[in-house]
Amino acid sequence: MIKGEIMMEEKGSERPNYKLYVEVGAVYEPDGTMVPKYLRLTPDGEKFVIDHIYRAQRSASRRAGGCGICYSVRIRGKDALLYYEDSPHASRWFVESRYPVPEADF
Amino acid sequence: MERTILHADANCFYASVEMLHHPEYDGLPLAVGGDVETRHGIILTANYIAKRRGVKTGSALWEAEKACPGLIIVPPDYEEYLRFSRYLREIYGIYSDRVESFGLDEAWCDVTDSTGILGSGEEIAEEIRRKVKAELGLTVSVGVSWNKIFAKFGSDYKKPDAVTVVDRESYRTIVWRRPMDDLLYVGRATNRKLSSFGMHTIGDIANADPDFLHTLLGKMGTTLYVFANGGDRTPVAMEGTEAPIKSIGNGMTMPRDLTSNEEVRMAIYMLSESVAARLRENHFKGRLVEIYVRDNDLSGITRQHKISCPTDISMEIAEAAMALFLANYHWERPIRGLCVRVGELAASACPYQLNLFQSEEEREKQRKMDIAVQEIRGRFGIEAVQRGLMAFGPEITPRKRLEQTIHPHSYMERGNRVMEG
Repeated sequence: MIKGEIMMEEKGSERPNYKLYVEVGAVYEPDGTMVPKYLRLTPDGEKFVIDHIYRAQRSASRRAGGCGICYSVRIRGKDALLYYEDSPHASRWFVESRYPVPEADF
Repeated sequence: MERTILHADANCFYASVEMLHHPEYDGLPLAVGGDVETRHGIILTANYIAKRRGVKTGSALWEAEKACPGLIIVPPDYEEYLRFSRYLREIYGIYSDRVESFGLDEAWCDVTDSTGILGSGEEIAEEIRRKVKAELGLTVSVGVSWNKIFAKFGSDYKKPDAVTVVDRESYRTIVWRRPMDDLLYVGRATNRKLSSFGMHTIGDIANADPDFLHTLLGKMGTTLYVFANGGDRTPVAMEGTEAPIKSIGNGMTMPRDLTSNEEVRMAIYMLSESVAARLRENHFKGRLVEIYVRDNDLSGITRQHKISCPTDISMEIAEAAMALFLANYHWERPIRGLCVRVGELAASACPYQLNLFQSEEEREKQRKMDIAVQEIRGRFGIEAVQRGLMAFGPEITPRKRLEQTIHPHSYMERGNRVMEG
């Protein structure tokens, strides 16, 4: 399971188990592939560019709760998970956060 | 070649989906139940913690809360369950094009042709189990066998998150020793009948004289004999060849008990409008109108009536339903729930015998009116246009779109093919 490998868990820190919906800028390639390019934790917040996507696959987020296409990405040299939750109520992006309020883990 | 059939059952499906979305309830008893306000007050599914404390599917919300203080009850979210059901099917679809759903949370999957490439049935089952857990965060129990009945038995045998293989070597020890109501289609009545002849396990059925079972239970007796011996040959349907819709119906539990014909008329018109709209959406007309009436003692009656011409007109459906109601319900008790259903469906373009005493021109007008009303409501909301009738009891009319129940197909629906070959 990839989650264990790429979640950066520092000793003594809280587990990232808050679900934080974020703003994502994504590009649709001609073949329909959706590629997230950057994210913002708040609409006017700082822009975090996604440097690299390791892989994308459907996955459940047991910590934050929910399920979607999980992108394991690198942002500013740190690994993170970004979920696209294609729920019938709203299709949104979320990250698993260590804090209940928008605050960067990267 | 012997078939390899899997039956996958998503454990406590609704509750598991809710648990996934609410990690904060981790370790707590949780149940998915109807809305107390509008009195759909029963438990639909409970998680294992709640089940262990005595919460049963189908019990009233207050009963469940009494059995398990601190029980968390969340309202159902069918759209979300449908989404997960679709994902489950997508995963099963990786291993076979023969996937047949049995309700939202169960499916058979015939992997006979994949076993050469992807490994044994057990290996595929394990892979499905792991994949569902990682990708959807749900647990499934999978049964593996050479027929659908034993595969289903296997998925019920060990829960949750487990694989059970029932093969030719093991079925006598695994299946035959279990009580007979673990077998599909052995219900309370059958159980009682067979028990009175000293039969208690599935093995008892398997070793009984088939003629005796036939005398006792009719055709079903022979069927059960075949089931118990692993002789079921029913194929797993191809993906996307679901049985066509057999009937369209809408029902609701009333926000308060109905006590007069006028109130019932209102509810019936409302339900009929919704049924007519769904008939048109699916391009069907139906000839059979059926009502289901449930009184506040929760016992119900079903009555049906064939009308002269196939219809998708709300007025015709409602009048037929109302006539049925007036002829069959005698107001021993107030009414708690109503359902209107139209069956014997045919494509709406299908030619049919016209009725000499009914003006087709008039019917066409009615039909156009229905469509116009539907369009207006689509744009401005359900309250934009109402029948005058509805003004008498606004609290009965629903504010949102009527809930549509999901009915699993019956195992026998496509005919019982166990006796072939």
